[in-house]
Amino acid sequence: MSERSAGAKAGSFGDYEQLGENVLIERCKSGDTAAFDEIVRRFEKRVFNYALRVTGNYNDACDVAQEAFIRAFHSIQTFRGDAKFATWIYRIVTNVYLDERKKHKSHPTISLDDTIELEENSVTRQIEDSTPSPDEILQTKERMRVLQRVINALPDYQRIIITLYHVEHRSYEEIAEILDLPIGTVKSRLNRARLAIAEMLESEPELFG
Amino acid sequence: MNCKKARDLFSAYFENSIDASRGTELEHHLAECEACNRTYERFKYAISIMESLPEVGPPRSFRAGVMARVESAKRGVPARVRWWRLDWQRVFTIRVPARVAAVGLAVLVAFVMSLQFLPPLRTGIASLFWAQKPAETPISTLDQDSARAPKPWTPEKTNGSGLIVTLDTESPGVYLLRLHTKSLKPAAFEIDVSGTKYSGYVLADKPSEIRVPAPHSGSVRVVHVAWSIGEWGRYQTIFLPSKLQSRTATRTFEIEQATVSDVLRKICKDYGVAIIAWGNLGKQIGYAQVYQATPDDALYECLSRVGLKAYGVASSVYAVEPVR
Ligand SMILES: [Zn+2]
Repeated sequence: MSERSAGAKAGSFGDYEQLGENVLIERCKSGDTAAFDEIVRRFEKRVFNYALRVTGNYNDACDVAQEAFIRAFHSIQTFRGDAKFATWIYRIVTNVYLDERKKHKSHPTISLDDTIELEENSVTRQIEDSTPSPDEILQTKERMRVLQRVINALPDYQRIIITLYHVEHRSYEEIAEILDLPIGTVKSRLNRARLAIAEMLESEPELFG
Repeated sequence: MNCKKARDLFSAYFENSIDASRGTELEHHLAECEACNRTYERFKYAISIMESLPEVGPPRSFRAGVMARVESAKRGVPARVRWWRLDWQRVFTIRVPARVAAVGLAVLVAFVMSLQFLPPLRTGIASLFWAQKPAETPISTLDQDSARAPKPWTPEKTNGSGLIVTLDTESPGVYLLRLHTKSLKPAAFEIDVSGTKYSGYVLADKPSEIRVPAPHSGSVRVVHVAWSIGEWGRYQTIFLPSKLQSRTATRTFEIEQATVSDVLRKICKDYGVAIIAWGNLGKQIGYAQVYQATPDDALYECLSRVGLKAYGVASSVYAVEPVR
């Protein structure tokens, strides 16, 4: 079976997987789209998951994540080697998201069901190992649903910081760089976000008792 | 220490980055203040479950979609394409091997099946249409008469992508799947041929071809194609027999407790016809009896009760779509 396609991955594809980040970025700067393809491959999961937690809905996450990669591609020349690419791309995703929010002033319609639908498998998979009862599975799903709703209810910056810290596991320093904020501000906003979540969970005692 | 002050220190205390005297003060407050104590318990719990949120990956065609946009940006915005002019030359000039014509199989080529996406984007309903005039005049594959070129079909709203199934004229026993789009946007696809997956994208002026070997005698090869254009995603399933046969053969069989997919597979295999279907093929078809029927009749008998219809589009090639 063979394939000829405008977007087909060429035979040299395997080589790119071996290349270091800096080499790939240099190649991107000289217009090598296959190198960018490899970058997308390496970062798509992180970028998408971050976009999903921040937007709170699957469709918007697709848009934001795609737009972020496109923006990264167009501004790759401005990327300096002194930051990690991950830091840079998180920064772009955040800006794309905030720009989108500005465009549609109102709060985004949060379609939790989308997220839940797609998460079901991963939730099930995650807890399968300990063979939980159906009740436990239901409860875990329900908890994740409530948790995402609670995260969605946070103000933008708190939601962004808490996602970067707890979901994407970025350090305070890195978050400060991504958001262009002093570390002290990052810390106090993270504290406020955690408190807000704690308080909101108090109204769900049957799930988080 | 008041409650607000105490709560401001929760993170530092939790992370052990608080200085000792402050830590002691906070502990005193927590011992005295039941509200803060309870909130701190929730606070710790919130952190632990935040860490347990599952990672959710992007849709499978995500990367292809990004790269399609990158490529089209590099090439400049694709010129507006009048879809009815698109690629027809090539579609209509596919050579028919003399050998095939000789055994009376007429043309196996060509049919074009497209998905038409209508606005509004998010809630629109995808519907199928024939790129040429619909149903009553199946595509005559070798007809190059430009006078019969299809009428413009609100091309602005057309966002179709689809497949053409042909036999590879150069290597017998190989099908050629040509993926193409009329969309002004790149159409990303992922194609699954018996478990082997390819992804890529097509542009209006740049179709893609995939060669798929015919299956072993007596079996069926099933190919799944997932399309995504912008935020759209749709599926097509193609059933390819080991050998295409004339459409006039008759068969007798009955089915019970089978899904649409099972039935299409059976008809593909028993009659030697290729079938392209779209949508959810998991629907149950109760009981159906097919007596000395041609593939047209067999398809009608089995599919009409579940709201599907089949068209013969060229000899030995059928398309299945929902009745509208
Ligand atoms: Zn207190």
